[in-house]
Amino acid sequence: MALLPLDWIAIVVWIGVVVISFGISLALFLKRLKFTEKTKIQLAFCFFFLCLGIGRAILVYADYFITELIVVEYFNNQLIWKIANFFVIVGLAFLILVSEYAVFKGKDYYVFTIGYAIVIIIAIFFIQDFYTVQNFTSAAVGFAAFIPISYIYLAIKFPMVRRNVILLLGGFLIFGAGLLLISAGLVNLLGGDVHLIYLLSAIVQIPGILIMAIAIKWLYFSEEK
Amino acid sequence: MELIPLDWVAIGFWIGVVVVTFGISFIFFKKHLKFTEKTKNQLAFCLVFLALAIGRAILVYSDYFLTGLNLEAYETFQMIWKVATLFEMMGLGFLIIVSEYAVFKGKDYYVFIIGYTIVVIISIFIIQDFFLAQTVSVAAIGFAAFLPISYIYLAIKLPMARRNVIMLLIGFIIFGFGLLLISAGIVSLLGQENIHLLYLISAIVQIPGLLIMAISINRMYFTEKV
Repeated sequence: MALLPLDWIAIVVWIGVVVISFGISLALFLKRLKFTEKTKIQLAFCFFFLCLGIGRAILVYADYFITELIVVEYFNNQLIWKIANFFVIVGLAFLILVSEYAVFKGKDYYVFTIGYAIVIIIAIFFIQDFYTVQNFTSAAVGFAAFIPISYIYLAIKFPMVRRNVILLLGGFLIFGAGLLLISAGLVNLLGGDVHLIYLLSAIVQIPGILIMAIAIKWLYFSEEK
Repeated sequence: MELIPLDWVAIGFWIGVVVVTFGISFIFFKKHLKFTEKTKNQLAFCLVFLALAIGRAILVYSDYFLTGLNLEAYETFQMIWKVATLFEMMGLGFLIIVSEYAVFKGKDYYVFIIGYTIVVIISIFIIQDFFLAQTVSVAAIGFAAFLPISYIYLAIKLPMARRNVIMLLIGFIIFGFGLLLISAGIVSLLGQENIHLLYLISAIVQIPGLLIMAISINRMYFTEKV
């Protein structure tokens, strides 16, 4: 059904509703909430784990109870896959943002986070073909390669926190390996039993997440630091 | 294809991943972020508007460009409707939790927000039938009826903040009226042929509602004077 002229007026007004809501949220966040730099970073880590939790909860449901790990079914149910990945990717974005700030202090104009966000928005909202979407999200994860590189840089530059940064790097690499195991490309490459690969991925991710959490707690949530 | 026994073991581990991740987030939020009550309220209000904006952005896309406001098409695109509704409900959820804390200070064991959350989870994640999901989500809004009642109570109890609370109440009623205008029940009652006009009026009504709410929230929770 084609949209009526009345609908286009309504769409403009609705965009007004969205812009005002975002605007109020942004104004309150940026102008009114007087958070210190440390609190902002702590909040970012809280959101990182929260987003990962939400995304993974949806993925478990989608992978096992909707698609049952059958590749063809992902085409038919790509919306739920996109939503779940959106949350996981937003979680990773918080991690990139914190790392980028730690390294550049904003002097690079957040080029990695912005590049990552642009690729994600294109992949999730504009591309309909499932394979292309997957390729794009993999490209976005390419931006996330900045995370381990930044940890190596920080470990070299700050000897006082070296041990914790290396711990964080170790946790991230283990967690990342778990994520990579179930990426479409690797599943195709490894062949074998997809059910076993998914089990292995979960087993690998748990210690990765725990190690990251311990390192983050020592680095950002302890008073001693 | 049925799930094989290995899958159930994997599901157990995946649930472990989810629980560990949520657990870490929860511990960081609750134990390590030393926020004052005021900051927590401020954060909740920021999230109210953020969640409402995300939900509405998705709804504008799905209402006009996926379903074309055709009620029958909503069933086909119910997943995106559910996601958008989840965000809208989250926004209202943050509003409920702040009001409930303001009234009961946790003594009621957060019965309204817990009841609201349970009904939202059932309607969004468990019910497959679209019309039933819509009906149950309206029931969740029933819990949101606590909001205006709590504002009336606070206006009576706190004379110093009365003017701002009444303003918040009015803003909420206007915004809520805009939301109600496009609920499935009202659209059915007024006739499908009026749906395009109803959606336009709803948007026009919601804008002042949001602005009035924002002004009163700003005065009550974000200004140093209070």
